[in-house]
Amino acid sequence: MLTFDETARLMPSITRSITRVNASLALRFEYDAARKTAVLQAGSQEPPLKVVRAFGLEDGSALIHLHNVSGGLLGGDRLAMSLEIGENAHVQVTTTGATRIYRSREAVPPATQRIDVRVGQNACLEYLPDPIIPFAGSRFAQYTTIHLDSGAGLFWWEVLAPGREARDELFAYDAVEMKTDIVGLGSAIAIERVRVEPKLYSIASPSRLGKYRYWATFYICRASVEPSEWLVLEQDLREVAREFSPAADALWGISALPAHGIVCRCLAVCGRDAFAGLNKLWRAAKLSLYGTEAIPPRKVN
Amino acid sequence: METDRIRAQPHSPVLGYLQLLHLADSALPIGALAHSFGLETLVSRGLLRVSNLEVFLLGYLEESGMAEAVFCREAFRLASDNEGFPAERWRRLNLTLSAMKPAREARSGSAALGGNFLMAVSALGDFPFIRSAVEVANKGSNQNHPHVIEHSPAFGLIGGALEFSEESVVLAYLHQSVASLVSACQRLMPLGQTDATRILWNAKPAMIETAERSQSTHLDDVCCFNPLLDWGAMEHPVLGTRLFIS
Repeated sequence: MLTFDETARLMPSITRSITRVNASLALRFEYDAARKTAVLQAGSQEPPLKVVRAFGLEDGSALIHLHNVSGGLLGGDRLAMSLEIGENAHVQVTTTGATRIYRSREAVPPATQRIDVRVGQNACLEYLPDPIIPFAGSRFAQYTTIHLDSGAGLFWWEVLAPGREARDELFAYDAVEMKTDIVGLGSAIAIERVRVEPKLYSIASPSRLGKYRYWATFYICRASVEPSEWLVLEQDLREVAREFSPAADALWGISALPAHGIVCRCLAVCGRDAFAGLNKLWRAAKLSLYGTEAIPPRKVN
Repeated sequence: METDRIRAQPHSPVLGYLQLLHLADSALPIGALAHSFGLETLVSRGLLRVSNLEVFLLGYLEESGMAEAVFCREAFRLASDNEGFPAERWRRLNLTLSAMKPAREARSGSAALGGNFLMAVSALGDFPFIRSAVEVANKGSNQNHPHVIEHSPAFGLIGGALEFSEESVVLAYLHQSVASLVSACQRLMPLGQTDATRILWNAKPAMIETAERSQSTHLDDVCCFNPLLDWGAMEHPVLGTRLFIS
């Protein structure tokens, strides 16, 4: 079976002719020492990707909402986003709604989203999007690369929904591929390579999702923090998860990365349980690593 | 020349066959019997039972087995490098595979097996290639980024260095890894010898299919989606009573 990239390589003419949208969003944030706040310094935007403005939060962070004004991604769409968080700047990024992946026509390349991030020295990025919802017959690929400089912090989650549950559309998509590389101080600390093809391989396998429908991954990093501190935080977050796990039909796994961070994984029957747990873990980790309360992102329409 | 004692008759297929059987024995004393790689958690939570073990192993082979097979094969090919030991590629191969494993214990377990395996084989003769692999690991380590030797690349590298055939090495790796899991299950659940033998027997076609798929899979295209197994491995450290290290 060809990978998405191989398909695009082998069918350049097709890719050119049916690429629906080729858009990019590039944002750079810097820390304004006089105002003690992060500011959106420069950016380029191509529809349908859009950020209206940055909102200042009480802790000096800047909050932005990522819009996809087209409503979702269609086969052939190629979106690219780059975020550069300058030294000492703290930035929170969320979405205005779920990332909807619409059905792809046959022979059309998958909808693709590339995300490149650099978090500068002692800066921090909180990336807290709504779930990815792949519709029936859709194909989606997301490639993410994150670089962390010395002291850089990261709270980054992704939640993959099974489809449009309200329509009983469960795992009816063709393929979702998510590749994430997190590089801390020049070394790979997490490499996630996920390809879910429910029509080819049993999603209900006891090695895959079993009875669960939602899958979430949450990276909590701060470059330069000592390995022993991550082991302590790993245990602390497990205790947090233990408090809310029994009431929810969800499994939470928490483990230290090779360096500079922790990964949390969740399998849940209901999406709301996954998000409730992610928020609690985020708050606990933020308090532990920064001594400050996490500020849930304000949603706008 | 008394260097490669293990290769007393380097081109003897019979000797090679016996040597590969030896190295691929899941009971080889490198510590594999002490690891369940998350199965112990799954069994204790009732998520893995005798009745769904075969389906589980199929999913394991399609995802984790496939990923490990690609890394095993890639390391095998390093051994055919005529420019000397490709230290940087070897180092990157192991670090990449290690970073792909989310569970701390499973990552350490695989690294322990890989290191032990290399050390065990290096004691069988004077193999400059294998010695270089160990030296690269020792040199590259620091507190934040300890260099690891993952099991599947170690197996592939040694298979290549000892001039076994590539396909037999990949298949032997897959077979020993599934045999180890089945062996762990015999100690974790009411799985008798007859059923264990049957389950391992029935898994062989899937091993062959996995090895075949790995032939055309590039390292950059390796994916692995075994979230329940990952969860089991991530939560193993806090399991109440533990038979296994991972």
